[in-house]
Amino acid sequence: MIDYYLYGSVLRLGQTIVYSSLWIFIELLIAGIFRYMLGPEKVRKLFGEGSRRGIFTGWLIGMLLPVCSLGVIPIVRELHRSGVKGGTIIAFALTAPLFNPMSVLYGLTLSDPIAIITFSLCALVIVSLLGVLWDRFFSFAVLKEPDEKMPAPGIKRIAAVFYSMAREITGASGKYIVIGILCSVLIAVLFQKGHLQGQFERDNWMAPINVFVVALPIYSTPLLAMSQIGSMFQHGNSIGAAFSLLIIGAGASIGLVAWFVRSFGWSRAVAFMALLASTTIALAYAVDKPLYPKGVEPAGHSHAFDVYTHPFHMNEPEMAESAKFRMLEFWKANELGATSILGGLILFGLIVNLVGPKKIEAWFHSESPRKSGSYDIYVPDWILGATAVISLIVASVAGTFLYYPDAEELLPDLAVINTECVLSSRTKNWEAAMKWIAYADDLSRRLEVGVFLRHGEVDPFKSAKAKTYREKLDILKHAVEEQNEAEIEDIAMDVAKSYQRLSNAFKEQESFGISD
Amino acid sequence: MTIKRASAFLLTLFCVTMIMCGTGCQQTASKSGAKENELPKLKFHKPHNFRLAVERLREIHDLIVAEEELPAAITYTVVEVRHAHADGESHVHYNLVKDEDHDHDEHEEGHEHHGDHEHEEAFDEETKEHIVHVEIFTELTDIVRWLPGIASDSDMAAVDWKLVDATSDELTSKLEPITGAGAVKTQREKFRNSADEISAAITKLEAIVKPNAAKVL
Repeated sequence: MIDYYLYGSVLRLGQTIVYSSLWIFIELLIAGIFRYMLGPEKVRKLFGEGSRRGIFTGWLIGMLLPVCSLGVIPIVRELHRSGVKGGTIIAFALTAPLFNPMSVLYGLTLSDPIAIITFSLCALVIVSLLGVLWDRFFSFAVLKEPDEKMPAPGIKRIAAVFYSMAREITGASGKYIVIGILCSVLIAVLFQKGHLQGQFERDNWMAPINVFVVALPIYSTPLLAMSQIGSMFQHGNSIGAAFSLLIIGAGASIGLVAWFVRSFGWSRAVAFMALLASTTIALAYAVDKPLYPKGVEPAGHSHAFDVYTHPFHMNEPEMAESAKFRMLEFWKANELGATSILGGLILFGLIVNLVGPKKIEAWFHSESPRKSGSYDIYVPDWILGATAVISLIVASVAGTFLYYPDAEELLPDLAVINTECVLSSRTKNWEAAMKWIAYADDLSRRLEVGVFLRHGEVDPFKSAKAKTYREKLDILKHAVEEQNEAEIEDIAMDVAKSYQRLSNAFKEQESFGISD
Repeated sequence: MTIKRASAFLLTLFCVTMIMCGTGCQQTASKSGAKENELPKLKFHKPHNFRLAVERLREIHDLIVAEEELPAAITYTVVEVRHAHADGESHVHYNLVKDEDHDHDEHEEGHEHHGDHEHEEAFDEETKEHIVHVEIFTELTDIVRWLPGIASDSDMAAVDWKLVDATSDELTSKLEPITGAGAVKTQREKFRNSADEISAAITKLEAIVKPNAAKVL
């Protein structure tokens, strides 16, 4: 029993940290740029101070920046410190973790585009309503502190950004992020493995509410949430539940709620949560039936929530070894670099805390004698800040192209993973098979999105082949889960054949011959 | 004052939402009352390959337009297996009872039998039997809807697949008013009125099967 909870928690904790590390790093950087390059005044202007476009600006910037529900905490803290209005902060805080160019593209290609556009518009309705009401009733809640002095230009300003990142991750933002991660881990180990698979079916009228309750503590990145929504569409699950998962699972976290309570007090936080719950659940019911995809038959289960349940069965043997193996595999496959950089940042922050930040901050603000030279041009801080923010947006778009490579580039990788998938299943290496099946499924989706990104559409024939391949993988996954030795050989070979057809379709060969 | 107004507004909004949810509950509650005996769409009558699917479509077409009485619905028994992973809930499988004589003996080689499998001892199983009836119009619409998927799971060329996809859409739109007509007798009458058009669509599918006879379709 102790092993079950201990190693389950350790594995889920490690996975959440690895998954979130890149996002948290990017968002700490954005917060640092806001603080020491743009400065409070420019931040207020950027977010529409004194105009009516504040909420829309918050929504738009949130749509463009790569942000997750934990990493958004340092940014909203910075916005609050800069004196940005609460409604605009809400619009940004709720939109940014839901969408970014990468996740929207994923959703548009693999779920129903109309559904994703509707989800985006519904999200806009929710954030606008919440933002407007907040500004209407709680406008006095804007923080009014004197603007902090900006660091001296040059290397000091750049160093100040990294210093700010290290201070935030080891300071208040870090605490809220830890709260968010721990709640996500706690909820995962409380649900037995696979417990949520049958809870969110189309005919379960409670599904949108159930998801709302379950999804608040969980941590999901925008891309993960979008892939889970795609999976829910594919399995014919409740669309209202998918909507709740997007808004609450990806958009909010307990860490963010904790910050809200701390910054605005219990009564306003409760009012905010009540309004968020009401609007999300009402819209979830409104879209549930109209957006249900045509021609999809309910599979009777969902895998979208598997990662939010316990990773082990209670009587599973060798949990310690399994947790270690799975953690290392997961770490190598996801964000090895980002976790290391974030770890370094935390170490630096701890050292700064020990040395004493006052000396360092005094150095940032001390004026260095200006050297005369034709190349030593003074660049205003707002140009640097704007360039950095625009660069992040451009990087987000460029990252989309890297994440969704061309078919020519991706197919060789998929071929290798598919082979691993088939071999591990045939040799009854169940654990490895589960891992490779998930990779193969993900790559087949990225294959389609990559084509969509470059050509503006995916040929229906290619889409059908990819869908068939994923259906075969799903059958294989069930066989592996059940350790179905009698049929595994046939099912694995069926996957191999289906992959060959997929590969040929994407290589634009008209047909080929495979015999049974 | 502002806080009070805000609270009153939120309370009203919350009540409206709850009423909306309540209405949603009532609408679906009537359905869920009958849910106990409802099963998800089972695919045991799904033809195994495209050739068999087209043959079965032609067969169904001919049966409906013939003067003879319609054949009885396909009947099979499925076992609902609920897995409890030693300690908790998991999902349900529907397995076809093996060695059962189906009522559609003329194409017994041709449908999917996915789902029946052995289980490891790690699972506790709870089983329940269901008798499933698939009447002829349901089978027809199911096969028509499944056609692109079945064709995609074959070596069919892209150009042929696109024709299958379009024909499936065409047949679906033709069958929608027929299958929504209520009683089987009325459905049959309506089908007969469109029989030539439906037959022409099936002929298009048959034309795809013939030249591809050597391929795995």
